[in-house]
Amino acid sequence: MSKSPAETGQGKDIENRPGAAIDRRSFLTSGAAVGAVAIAEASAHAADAISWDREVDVVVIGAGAGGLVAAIAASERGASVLIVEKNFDIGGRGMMSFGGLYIGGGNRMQKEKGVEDSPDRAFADWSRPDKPMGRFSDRALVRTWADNNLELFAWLENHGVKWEAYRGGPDRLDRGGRTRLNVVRWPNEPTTPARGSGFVRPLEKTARQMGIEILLQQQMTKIHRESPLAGRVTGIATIEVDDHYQPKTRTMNIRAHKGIIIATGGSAGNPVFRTMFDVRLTEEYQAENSEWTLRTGDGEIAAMEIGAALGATACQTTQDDNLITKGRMGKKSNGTITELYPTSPHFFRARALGLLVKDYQDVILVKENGFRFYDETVPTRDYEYYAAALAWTGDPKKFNGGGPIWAIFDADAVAREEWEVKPPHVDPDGYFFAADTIEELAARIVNEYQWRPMPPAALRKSVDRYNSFVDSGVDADFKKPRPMYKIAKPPFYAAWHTPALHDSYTGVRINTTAQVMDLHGKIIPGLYACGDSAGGFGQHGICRAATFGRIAGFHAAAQQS
Amino acid sequence: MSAEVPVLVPAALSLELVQPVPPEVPAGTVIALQVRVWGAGRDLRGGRIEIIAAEEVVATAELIEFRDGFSETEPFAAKAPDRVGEFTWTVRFPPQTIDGIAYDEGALQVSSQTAPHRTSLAVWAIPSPVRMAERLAITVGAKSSGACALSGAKVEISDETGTMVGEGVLGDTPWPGTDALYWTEIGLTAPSEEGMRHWSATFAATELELPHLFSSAQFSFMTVKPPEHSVAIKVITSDDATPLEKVQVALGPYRAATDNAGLARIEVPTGKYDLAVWKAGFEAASKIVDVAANLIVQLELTRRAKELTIWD
Repeated sequence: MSKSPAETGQGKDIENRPGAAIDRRSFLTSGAAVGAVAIAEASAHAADAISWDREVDVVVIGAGAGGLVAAIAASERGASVLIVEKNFDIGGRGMMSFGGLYIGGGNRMQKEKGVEDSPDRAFADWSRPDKPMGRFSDRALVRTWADNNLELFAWLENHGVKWEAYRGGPDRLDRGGRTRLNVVRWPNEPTTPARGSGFVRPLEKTARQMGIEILLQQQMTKIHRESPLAGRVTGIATIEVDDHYQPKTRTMNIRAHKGIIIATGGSAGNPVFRTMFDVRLTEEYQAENSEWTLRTGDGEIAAMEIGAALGATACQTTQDDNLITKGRMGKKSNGTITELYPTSPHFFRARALGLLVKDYQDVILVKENGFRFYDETVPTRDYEYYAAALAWTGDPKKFNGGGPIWAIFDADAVAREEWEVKPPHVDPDGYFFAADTIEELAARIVNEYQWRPMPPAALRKSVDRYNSFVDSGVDADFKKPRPMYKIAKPPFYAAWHTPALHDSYTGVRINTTAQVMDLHGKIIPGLYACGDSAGGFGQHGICRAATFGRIAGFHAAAQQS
Repeated sequence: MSAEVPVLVPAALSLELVQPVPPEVPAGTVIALQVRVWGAGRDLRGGRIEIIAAEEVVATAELIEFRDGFSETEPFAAKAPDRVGEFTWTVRFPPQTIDGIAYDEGALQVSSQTAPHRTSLAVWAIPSPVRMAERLAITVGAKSSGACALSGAKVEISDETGTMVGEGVLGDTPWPGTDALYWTEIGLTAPSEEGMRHWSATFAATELELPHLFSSAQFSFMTVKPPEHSVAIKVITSDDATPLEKVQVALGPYRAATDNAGLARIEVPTGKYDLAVWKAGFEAASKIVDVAANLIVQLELTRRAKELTIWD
């Protein structure tokens, strides 16, 4: 059962603390100085003065995994609901998800498989102190997730989500036979083979059947609050955007009588925001799946502008999950598994499918300077690899970030991997190059993040040296397991292989009822967050989004208008 | 009234290039020029422009755009001299009559310098290891930065001391899949001592139509003693002892891949070797093997943990 904020000790108003901010309601009842009251009332009137284009009970910002769940939850508790979504289709990050949920608690699917589980076990696993992934999470939120597993399982089933199976070995912090539960892919999803469609499409269908309106291509630009740092949130401002998210002219103010739920997908795609946590993650690192969702921290920024705090930010830097991944290569937005079909209406943003390296013996990886930096064969969660990739290489104007990483390979590697080295598999516009010789290849690399031409002699030297390691059997530089293949047979190729950013693991601070907290530990009345926009629990993926989206929807619907 | 009264505009013309000529260009390459003329703000469309090199007209263009008082040509091609060195072009507006108005001559001198084309090499299909004193063949290709045909040009192979040990003449067609990599196969003899070889290929053609710079590229191979023993390597999985095929096996410098029974055979001389095996998705494995007779070695490979593979 979920604990109320009072039980967990979170979200208690701390009016008596010296210097604490006082919200409008407590201010008025405390009989403070007359001048201050006048100011508070003036700002309340300023909020009233907004000309509202639409009025609903609950506004949900973002139509991804968390947002769709939140909207349905609020609607079934009697609230009128409107979703605004920046993209021209619903789904957000959830659409490009592999489609597995960290959900257990002893549900029907687990029982069928003979797996013993309980909310206590789920809580214990996901708050493990011996793993950085569990160590830094807000245990009250982990407990809430665990306590909601069974209800959420049944609720999702009742709202159209079909379970495929528990499959594979333990993943992340799951133990004792609990592992990710995959959803069944939405049949004939025309855009992507990712299973995430099996989560967001059925929920979209349910939402539309319930009469929930989804306004596409509307970007939230501001959350209105009674006064800048006090009082209830009153609504949002939006602007219509085009397919490239460029603002058009039509703006709107949407009044939310009961609540505003932030479900904007996190901040992995915003270099300014993410470098608050890890200053190395500069602009050359692309957020995975940005062809579907930019994840530019819109919700977090709007909430912080009206006083919201961030939660459990250490989760963002645990180095214990796919925070950064090796990704695909040869395309800019180089996510790992999920991809778009070239026939997808979103493919114009992806521009290519990318190539997946099956065997890292087939490539060497070099930095923008043409030199190798690490054993290419290490697994995707080797954070020493990323430390080396993100190290400075000499750009006098940019000290953070490591610049582009290029995979260099030859015609024999293409044959071994059965890669197709032409569009739509690769993006020759800055992210994939071919040449007759190694020197020519280096000279051809022209890319928006490559701050200087790659020195041809350096790349030549790296390739010659690596080739001699193949003869001698020993990588004297980076101890790659016995180098197997020379890079010798023309033509030669360079493919963008810069680490990609998987997700954000922190966001605005929430309590166990998904209410957003301010810098003074107080609830911002009427404001909620879920999914990757919410901080506090370093669990990746759609189950956390759904858990707190559902809680937010229920709680918002129960508010007084 | 008569329109036949030409008006002379002496010395009032000025010419400029929309984009300057780069200070250095590869010899014999085509440069795009676009000329802009000011003639007291008059519309000079229909007027002619000449490019003169060594008193000869090498390109002409017509003024076809009129904007803000300037008349412009479209970008047009002019070929830089084939020889290396400084050159000067005269961009000339010859005396001419446009729309009934007669204009005097205008001219602009532009200078630049031609440089030789760069070259680079690829060396591939190098067998390694090679038995001492045996014949081997390698493939060498050369590329001109101007994608010039290099057919008939010579490439040479030298050993570590700089002694030429082989040569070849580049063939008529580029290597499949390349733009203009002209190539040849060169036969060589391996040295009669064991060890790592760092030889080089050089390209130093002087007889080509356009000037080209020298280039060289290193390549390496191992020379080894003749084999004495046969080593059979069997690779199985550590969890269920399934034979693994297509595993890359290296015994010192010697290489093979396992067949569908998980077996690879390698012939080696007596000695102590690092046995290393590799298959994507498995942890790398190695052991030291003493070979003094025919031998069978078994090695187990462990699958990489699931949680280390890539998820969503």
